[in-house]
Amino acid sequence: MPHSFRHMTLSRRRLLRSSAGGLLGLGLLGAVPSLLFSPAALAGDAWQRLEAAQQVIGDATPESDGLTLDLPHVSEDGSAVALTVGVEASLDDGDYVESIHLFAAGNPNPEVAVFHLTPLAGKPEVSTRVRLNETQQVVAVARSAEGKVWATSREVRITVSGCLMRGDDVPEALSNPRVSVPGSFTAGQPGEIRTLITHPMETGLREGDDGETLPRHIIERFKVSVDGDTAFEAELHQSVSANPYLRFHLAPERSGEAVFEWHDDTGESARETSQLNVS
Amino acid sequence: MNVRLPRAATAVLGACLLLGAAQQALADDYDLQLEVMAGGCANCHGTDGTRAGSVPPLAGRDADYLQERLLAYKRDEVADTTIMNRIAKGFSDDELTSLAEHFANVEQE
Amino acid sequence: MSVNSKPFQLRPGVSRRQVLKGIGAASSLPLIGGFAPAFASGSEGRVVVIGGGFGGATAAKYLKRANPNLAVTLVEPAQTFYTCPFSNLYLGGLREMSKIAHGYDELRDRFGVEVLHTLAEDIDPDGHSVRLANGDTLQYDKLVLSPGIDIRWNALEGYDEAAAELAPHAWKAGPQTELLRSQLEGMDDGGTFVLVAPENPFRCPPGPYERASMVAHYLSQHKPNSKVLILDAKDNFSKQGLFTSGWEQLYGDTIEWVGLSGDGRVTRVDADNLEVETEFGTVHRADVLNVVPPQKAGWIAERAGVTDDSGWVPVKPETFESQQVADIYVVGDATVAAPMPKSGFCANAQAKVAAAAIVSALRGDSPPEPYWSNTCYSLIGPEYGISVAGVYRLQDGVIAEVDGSGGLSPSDASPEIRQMEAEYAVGWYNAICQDTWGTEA
Repeated sequence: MPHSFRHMTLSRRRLLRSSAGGLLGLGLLGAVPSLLFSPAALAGDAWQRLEAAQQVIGDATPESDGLTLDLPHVSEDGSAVALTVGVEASLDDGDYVESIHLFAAGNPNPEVAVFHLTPLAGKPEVSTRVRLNETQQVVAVARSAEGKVWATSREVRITVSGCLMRGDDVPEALSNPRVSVPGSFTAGQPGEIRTLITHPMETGLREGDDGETLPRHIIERFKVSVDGDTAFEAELHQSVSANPYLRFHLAPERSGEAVFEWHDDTGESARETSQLNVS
Repeated sequence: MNVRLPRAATAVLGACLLLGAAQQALADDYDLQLEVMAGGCANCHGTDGTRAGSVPPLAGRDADYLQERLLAYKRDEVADTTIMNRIAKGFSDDELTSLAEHFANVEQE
Repeated sequence: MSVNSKPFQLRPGVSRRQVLKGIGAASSLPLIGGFAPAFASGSEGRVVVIGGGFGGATAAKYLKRANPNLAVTLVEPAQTFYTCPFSNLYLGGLREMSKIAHGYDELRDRFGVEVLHTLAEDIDPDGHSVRLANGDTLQYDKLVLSPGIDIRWNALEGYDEAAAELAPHAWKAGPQTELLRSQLEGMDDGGTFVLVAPENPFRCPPGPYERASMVAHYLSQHKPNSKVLILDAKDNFSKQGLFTSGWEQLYGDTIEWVGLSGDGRVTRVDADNLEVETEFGTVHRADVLNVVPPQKAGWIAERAGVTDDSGWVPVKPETFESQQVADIYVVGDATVAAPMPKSGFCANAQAKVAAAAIVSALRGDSPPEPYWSNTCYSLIGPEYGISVAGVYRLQDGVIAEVDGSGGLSPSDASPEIRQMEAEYAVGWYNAICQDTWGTEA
């Protein structure tokens, strides 16, 4: 896994400077004193200002403790920024993390991806690589099946390194699917799965050499099922980097067959299978 | 061992400090801002632009010539340029003029 | 009162070189009572510099140039410094190790820097002191750290210090470089040289690709049936288009590059068997294995308390003073200075800014406005040079490239231009070494 760093939560000073108005605006006058110093308020206010994130949060009061979002402080290449998001909080019996939403607040379209998890996924932690247009806040929101909500954000500074120059290859979409699966699993314990597939993930915002806008062409959906049951799904948008990389977990109870499917927006798909050996 | 000064040496030091005071004038002559601006030039042209080799020296050359040349590089008017156009474009015309004067004034041995 | 308030003017022609020679002469005067005269003893401040590479040596020299009345002590364990720049040329058979070696006599004799060939073991930022390996302590008013990089052992599974003796990194020039060269010489024709390239950030972004080029050159001369395989943790690398086309032109299909999205990322090294395994389970066997592993700032930076959780050193861009510890300035590969790359040129440029900031601070002046530039030359072949340049300024409080400046060698340049750049690369190397250590290899 690329080495990743954790941010400290935002300092009180920064919070007081920027979000007091926002909290007041939410009509929480009476609760302001305690909210100003609560973990939720301190963790990062970018998710409060991002409408797409607010829609996912709904009426809930999100926590930030327990949701980690690992990103580099500085990335020299915004086209493939490594990201890991995970929920470490302990949940009530029977509850599980159902979805993790990623947003890039400064991108033309803030939605990056939504990961749908099930108990079969085991550990609710996902890694991928994302495109960040410029220095900005990346926002994550997670929801559990029983309605718990977490939200957090991290700033990433994107510098344009003059050293980098793209190669000219245009990869063949949906070619070369690769899956890495542990040699064996312990029943019910999560094992790490990594997947990679070739795809340009053309955003629909780029111009070709002739000045014409290149049409959008992305993988929209990735699905993993084990013996027919959906274990993990991802909705991808154009802010996911080319040649999408996804690392997640599966916790099978017994040996079986895992099927991996990638579907792009032209209706084409790719498929890989792998045996899961539970010892 | 760390050098520590016993009392006996302070009288000597006092005399030397007077000499030292004369040397302070050097500091005024050394234009720190200009030196920082010209810092990158030394990496190909040598300290104070005195290097001669595949990369030409700058020290003591005519200020007008250097200025003209730098501005020409900046405007992509020099044939067969490899790197100087990319560098010159990083400076304003005034900065390039100052750099030209700076190197023109470096005295050769 | 401030130096900075004067507009740029023509200066009367006092030669700095003449005055500095005076300093040198003074330090060779018979010592009075065993102590050197005042203007070499730091009447205006004491600066300690740790690290005698491109950053540290430049800092020491430029501190003395700006204010000869500073006491400047450079701590560097090695008596001879081998430069990483051009060490690839040694691997390619174009240069001997002696021609990338630099000593410290000029810094001592001409500039009056006290050079101590020992190791700095610990720093007490509150006490403003440095503890040396022999137990001595150096006091400082300002401290400059230019510790370069250290390898993050075991960040790449299986790559520890013992592994580096079998599969060298050669990412610090010296014995590791010689080891790699001897392994190349011992390789049979038809063998494969595997180079594992890391993700960003790391020292010298074009370095691995120049190395592959120089190895391919050596192989083309001596072992023409051999191959070079680059396994890369990235999809994009410095001057990629230029390297790719240069490799085709000069070496045909000798060099194969596998990027991140092609399963190029190595996750495990088996140095005993010279095997590496990639993320998706492909195992590659090498005849010579060169691993460029994950890196961090030189360890003394962590001791000083200037690193953050990335393992690198965040600095204030105006002065390169540490963001975390007062009176400690950090320059070179150890710093977070993006978009400036980790290069010797940048270390030298940052050292000049830091030196000016220190000289100003010790006088109670504000520092001059910073300027930096960088040019990275890479040799794809003995007569085929390419470059990337950058000019940087402070913009909105961060370091940024000046719009419209810098950039790469043209992709369609003529062979004559490629040859000129190869020659200028040598000119650059000689000039920067003379500027840094005062010596020519």
